[in-house]
Parts: sequence; C-alpha cells; structure tokens
Amino acid sequence: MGYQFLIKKFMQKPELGLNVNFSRLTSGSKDMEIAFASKDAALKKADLGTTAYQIGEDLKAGFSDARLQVDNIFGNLSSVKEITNRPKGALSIYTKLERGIKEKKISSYETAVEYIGDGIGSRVITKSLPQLSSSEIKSLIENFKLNGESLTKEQKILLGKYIYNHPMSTEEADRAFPIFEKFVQPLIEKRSKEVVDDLAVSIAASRIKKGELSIEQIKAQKLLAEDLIKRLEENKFEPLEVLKINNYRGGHGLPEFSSRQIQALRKICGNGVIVNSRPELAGYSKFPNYNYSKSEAKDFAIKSSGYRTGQMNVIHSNGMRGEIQFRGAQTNYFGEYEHIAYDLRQGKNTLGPLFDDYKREISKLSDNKYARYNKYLEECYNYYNRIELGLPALKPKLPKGFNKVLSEENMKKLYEANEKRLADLKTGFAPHFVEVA
Amino acid sequence: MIKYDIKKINNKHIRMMPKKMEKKFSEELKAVISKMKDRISREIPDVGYFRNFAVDFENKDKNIFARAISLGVERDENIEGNALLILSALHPSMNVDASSMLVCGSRDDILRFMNKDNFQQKVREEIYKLSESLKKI
Repeated sequence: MGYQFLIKKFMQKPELGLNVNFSRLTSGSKDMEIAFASKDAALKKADLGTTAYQIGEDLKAGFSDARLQVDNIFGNLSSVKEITNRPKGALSIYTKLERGIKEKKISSYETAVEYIGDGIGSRVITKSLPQLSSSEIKSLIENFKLNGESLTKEQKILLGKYIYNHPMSTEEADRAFPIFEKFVQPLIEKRSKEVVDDLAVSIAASRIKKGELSIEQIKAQKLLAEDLIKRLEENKFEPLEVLKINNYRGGHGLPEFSSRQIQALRKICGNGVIVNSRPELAGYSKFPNYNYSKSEAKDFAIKSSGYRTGQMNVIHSNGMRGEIQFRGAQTNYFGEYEHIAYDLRQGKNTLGPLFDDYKREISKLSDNKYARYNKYLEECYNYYNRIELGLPALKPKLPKGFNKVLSEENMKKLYEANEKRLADLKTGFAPHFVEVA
Repeated sequence: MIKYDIKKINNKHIRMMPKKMEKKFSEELKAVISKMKDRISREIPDVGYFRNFAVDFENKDKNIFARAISLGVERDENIEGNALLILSALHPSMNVDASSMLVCGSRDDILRFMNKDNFQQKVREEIYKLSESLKKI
C-alpha cells in the first residue's frame, strides 16, 4: 500500500501541504521523500506541520465525547439558541504554534498542546432579550437603586442620556457608564442565568467527584444557592472542570456575566480557578498604591477592540483541554469578522485573497490610528450587545480619516464572501493523502 | 483568545526604587497581609453595606511575572454581610490581572483563615500560580 500526495486546493498556505504524520507513513512514499528532502528550513516547517497535524488528529479523536458533554450541560436550556463545537484544525494549530515558537513558549509536544489551549472549542450562543419599550425603560430607571439608594435627578438624566445614546463628552460618558453598568446588571443576569446556574452545578459536581468538596460543605459555606443544591442532590449533572475564566469586554462594554455571577462561579470553583479581568473595570481600585506615570500609561495603552465574551478554559471528562465561549448571537456573528484586524496585527495570517485590500489598510495604520480604529470596533460590539439586551442601539459610523474598506459593513461583506468562496472550494474536497492500492 | 497587545512590554519602563527602599518580597507580603487583616477588622461591619477595598505592593521579585500584587476584599453580592478575599497579580502590561479567591465567608471566617500559621505560605504559592498564568497571556 502506498500514498498519493495531493495538495488541497483551498489551502491558503501551500507549505501546509507538508502536514503529515511520519509515524503513519511507514510504508513510505516517494512523493513524501521529495517533500521532506534537502533544505533545513523546509524540514523545520515539516516538523511544525507534523506536530500541528498530530495535535489535530488527537483533538479529532477526543472531539465527540467533549461535544456530547457540552451538549448535555447546556443543550436543553431555553435561553440557549445554539451550541457550536469544533476541534481546532491543523492550519489554525500550525499558525498558533508558529507564534508560540517565536515567543519561545513551546519546547515539546506537551507544551505545544498546552499552548494551543482551546483545542476543542465550544460556543454556547444565548438568545436575545425582547426589545424594551420606552415606558419600560422609564419605569426601570424610576425603580433603579444604586448601592441601595434611588438615583438623584441629575443621575437619572445622565443615565437616560446614556441609555438613549445621546451625544455626550468623554467625561460625561465616564461618569454615566458605572451607573449604566449597574442598571443593566439584571438584564445581563436574565440572559445568562440558566447558563451560569448549570455551569455552577457542573463545576460543583466535578469537585465532588474529585473529592475536593462535599454537598455538606457546599451547604455550610453557602457556596451555591439552595435551589441549585437541590438540583445537585438529584445527581443528574455532567461534571466539568474549569481552570480559568475570562470575562472580556471593552472599556465601556458590558460583560457576558455580571460581577455577581463571576463571584458565584469563583465561590464554587474555589481557589483552583484563575479569573482574568481588566483591573480598571473592577469597580474599585485593585492596585491602589501602584501608580504609573502618564507616559507609561501611554506606552501600555489598551489596544483592545472591545472584544467581549465569557470564556472558560476547561478539562473535559475525557481529559481533553478545551475552551467554552458564551456569547449572544449578534456579538458572536460580529466576532467572526471583528478579530481579523487583531489577528493581522498579531501576525496571524490565514486570510484569503479577498482580504488583500483590508490587510493593506490595516498594515498602514499607525499605533495611534489603530487605537482609534479599535475604539470604533468596540462601539460596534456595544451596539450589537445592546440589541441582545433589548436596549436602544445606535449603529456607529466609521470615523473620518479611515478608508471605507475598514468599515464594519465592509468587513461583514468580505467575511461572508470569503465563507462562500471557501465553501465553493471545498466542494469536491480531496484530502492531502489518499491511500492507493 | 487574549486581546491585549503586550508587544510593548519593556523592562526599562518598570520604575526602579532606590535599593535601600526595597524590601524583600516576603516582608512586603507580610506587611500587606497585616494591613489587610487590620482593614478587614475595621471596615467589614457586622451588618450592612461596606465598600470593596484592596492593599497592594509593587513586585520586585524577578521570579514572579507580575508588576504588582494585591489582596482585595469584595462584598459578596449573593450573600449580604459576607465577603470574598481575592488575590490579584497585575500583568506587566497593566492591561489585565489574574486573580483567585483565597476564602469567602463572614468577616470572622476570613480573619480566622488569615490567622492560620501557613497563610502567608499559601498566598505565596497562589502568587506563583498567578504568575505562571500571566506568562501565558
């Protein structure tokens, strides 16, 4: 038996044709020998390709069990619109490993697997809330209490202006946002309550299974609400081990999970879990004595695009490492193409030729201009997130001085055209290697 | 996926204190724990609202990948009167921190936990975990 060497026609990096697992080609192939022969550089690429391929194969093998686990936990919730899962493909693994090697973070197969982290990715997409009417918003403002007290007249006006997207100075917006954030907390929690509850119970089930906690301890330390303890006692939950929680959002963006929900998850996870967050958004000074100069602050200015997602690094019950993201449908779709600019700036290049103009424009942006562009993308995230929460939303416009190719509308068009192009190319797909008699 | 640009991290930007002012890491940690115990005793009431607060110090230990370390107390938003003791390490970019909960409960529960003999050692171990986590960002 031998192997026939084929190049995938939709591959955007030709050298990835070298993605081959040596150990499975013991019968040999002349074509393979040609592919791997001679130059050192090519051989290194082949090694990287082999590693990427091997990791991809391992992920594929563990994928179905991991997917079933995520479906069992979240699949039946009425607030969940859909769940998507995928094992990371060899091309994506290759690109990430390339970056990891440049950063000197990879020295072995094991460190490569750890660096990949999101090998099995799942997304739990939650439904949007119904649009709030103006009378409902008015009533919510009237009844809203901040730290136990009703808002002053000025605070109500400020909050109203922020809710209805009225123009305001940066200073005003900075004052309005913390009030707005508390105001929308019940809406955030309404959207994600079922997901967080089931997550908390699954984490508890995992810790009980590992012998780290007992139901008695959970009751005594009030680590879960009573209704959740009851459900846990029914013993119908799929255990899930969580290693890390990221609750990403932009400066004036809302998180997927409220601070109260993150606290609830922290409590049931114990000190085994690490939460990554932005210190300036904690609502209090987390590092009160550590001040840094304005020039330092400028040097380390945030380049965030407002990327928002609730994200967890987990270990599935079959031992595979994975990442579960929690998002609304609108921000999820925007996130599909928003990250293109970030990936390009990070040197990750898996884009097709349709994006050439976009790539050129992004590469031309100075750091300052790129920061302004990110601000625009953050506003787009906030726009879509407001729709998900049933709040009034005003679509942002690309600021003056930027080429139209960078607009959100154009990014969406490019993304959709590229998806169609890839789907067309995959028609009649043939694998790299096919066994021949 | 982490969305912070860390390319600009450069040691020259880290402010240096005069040597005589530098304290060993364990002394800094001890001082912060002591301050925190004091503030918990004074600022968390038996009943009612209290503000979240934190105490911190700048990290000088080259084996720890963090610009600053803090111990913070957050009101338990799910159980009135309770709090969470949070340990945080600030990434050198200062854009993100990694944190873990050390203990949660009433003021007395937290103080009892902090008064255990091995508490400082426990905090130190957690700091290393956070440091390793920050390296991966």
